[in-house]
Amino acid sequence: MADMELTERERFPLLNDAGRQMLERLRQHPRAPAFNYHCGEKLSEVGLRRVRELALELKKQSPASWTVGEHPQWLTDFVRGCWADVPFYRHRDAALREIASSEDADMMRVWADVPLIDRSHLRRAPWEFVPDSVELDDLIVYQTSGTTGNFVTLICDPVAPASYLPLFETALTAYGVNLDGGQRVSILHMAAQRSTYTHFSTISYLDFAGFAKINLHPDEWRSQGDCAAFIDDCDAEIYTGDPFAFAELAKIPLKTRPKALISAATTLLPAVRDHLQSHFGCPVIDVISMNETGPIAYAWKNQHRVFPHQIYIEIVDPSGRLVPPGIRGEIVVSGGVNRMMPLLRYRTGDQGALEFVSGYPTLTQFTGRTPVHFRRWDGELVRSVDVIVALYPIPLPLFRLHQYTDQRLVFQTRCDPATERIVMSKLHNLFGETPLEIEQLSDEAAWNGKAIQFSSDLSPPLLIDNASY
Amino acid sequence: MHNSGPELDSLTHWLTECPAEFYQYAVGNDGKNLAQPGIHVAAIVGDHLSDVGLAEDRIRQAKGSVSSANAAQQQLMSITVWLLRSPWFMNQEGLANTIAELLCNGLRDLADTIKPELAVTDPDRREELVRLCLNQLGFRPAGETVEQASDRLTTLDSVERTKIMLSMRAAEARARQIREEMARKRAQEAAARYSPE
Repeated sequence: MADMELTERERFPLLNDAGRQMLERLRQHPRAPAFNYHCGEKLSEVGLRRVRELALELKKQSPASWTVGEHPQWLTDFVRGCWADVPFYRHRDAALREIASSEDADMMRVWADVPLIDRSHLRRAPWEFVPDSVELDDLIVYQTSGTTGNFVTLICDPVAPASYLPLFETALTAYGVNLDGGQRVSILHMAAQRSTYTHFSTISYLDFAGFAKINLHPDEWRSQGDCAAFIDDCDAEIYTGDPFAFAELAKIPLKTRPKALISAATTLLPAVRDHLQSHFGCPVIDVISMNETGPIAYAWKNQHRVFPHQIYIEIVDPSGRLVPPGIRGEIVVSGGVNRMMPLLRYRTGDQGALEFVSGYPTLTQFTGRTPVHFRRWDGELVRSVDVIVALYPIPLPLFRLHQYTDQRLVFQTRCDPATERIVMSKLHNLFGETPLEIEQLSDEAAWNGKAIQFSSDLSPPLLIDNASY
Repeated sequence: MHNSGPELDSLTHWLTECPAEFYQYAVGNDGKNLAQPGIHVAAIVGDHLSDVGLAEDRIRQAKGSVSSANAAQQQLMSITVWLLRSPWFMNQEGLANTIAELLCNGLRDLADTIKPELAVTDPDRREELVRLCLNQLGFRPAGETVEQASDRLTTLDSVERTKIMLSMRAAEARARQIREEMARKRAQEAAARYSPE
């Protein structure tokens, strides 16, 4: 994060009196945390129009405009745009050229030859992904490390983060929830970390409703009780955050309740979701989202329905070949919300299967990140997805599993002794006689933020067939 | 390029013998001498087109077109007239209209890209001019396939090479501009994001 401060006008080009009042309210709130960062939406009139156009488009498109064996209609134009306007793709191969240069290119035939890209391409020369036709005045830079420390600089414009809002609305609408906006705080982003940036803003798309990112860590608040008082006073329409932050939030005695929780960033186990839903009395919606692509899919009936905007999902095996619907593999994305870095066949590193449920492209068997294979005492392999499935009924907002070279497994979490016994039993069922320890994470470790959930010091298996992938 | 033509060497050698007057003393648009008195390009183009049998009215048009060309273009037209006076070209029939087109319109991009005298003094540019003329008149050098001739012309193509170079320079400038903007924006606040990733 940077420290060169902007003026209010640069932060909020569209700011009106209502927005100014909202900012004052959050700035001067007597129970507010000591916000440690300034951040606005930077959205211009043109940018706001784009976000509204996206919202209209999303309302029209249900279900999405593609199904098994098809490509969405927008994809051909998208490829042509990438070829004509984006230096990185212009230097790519013949398949792209064929699609871009032929009026009636057979997308179905040529598409599979379009080379996949991954994080390493973005890391090498991110500027090569910026279309020639875009103005650079609005350019924003984010540094992202994911959970792997694999830093990438992402370039976008203010429309990209603002586009999350209509996409969230799409997910909320599916659960019967509407965002009203106006003179109220609409969104509180809950963090639970030892240290993170906290700030407040106002959202022009929601008629200058308020937004704040707060950290639940006690050190962030001036007095005991401020955290609950501030959250209650904001009475936000929705909370966003990760499962650990929500689990911590559930420990705070609040008088108010949001309309919904949007969970992202780490695995939301069904038992955690059920616990949160019961506690907050509202839907808890898991959203699959990446910095590079923006929101991809939202939870719907224990699966993840792909958002109906310009995003196209494929699943590939480890060698990059397409796999049929229902087979797990790596999720590959084209499109997304970031017009400053258009992505064509981007390997996300996340795992799942694609199916078409009631006409909706839907991700099933989803697990974030590259699959990790653990080795049992008898040599059998256990996939990270198997561990997640085994933990489904246990309300663990936070867990990590690591295997050392001596095959010893260490499962780290924070839970009570009764839950720990259930975890132990589930893991024993899965791993048999493999040495296994459970470690209760310290407060400090738990509050250190997003971490790698599955890891192993053992060499990965040499051969992974599709069935076991 | 579909017809097999002469030995390449015979034409490039012919070009080496082009008198300096043909390219050093061309006449400018206004009819005045560019440097010193020399060849009147519109006149020699007109004479050549007459010799190859072009109709009078077309010759007048061609001379008008040549007169309106800039100095470099006239220099290259002049050199090309010398090339087209070689025995092989003079023995071809039915090329009058194509030759007029070549002289009036087919040389301008090359003339704007290279120094015209290089078409005489530099071996690659000599070969390029010979191949360009043969190609525009529908021939390829003897002993070459269409593909070979086409490949070699592409390799020598100064106009295309210059376009690529300019486009590469523009791309580098744009990349530099983006990197500078990234550095500037890295030092600034970003925009609010509404959820964790």
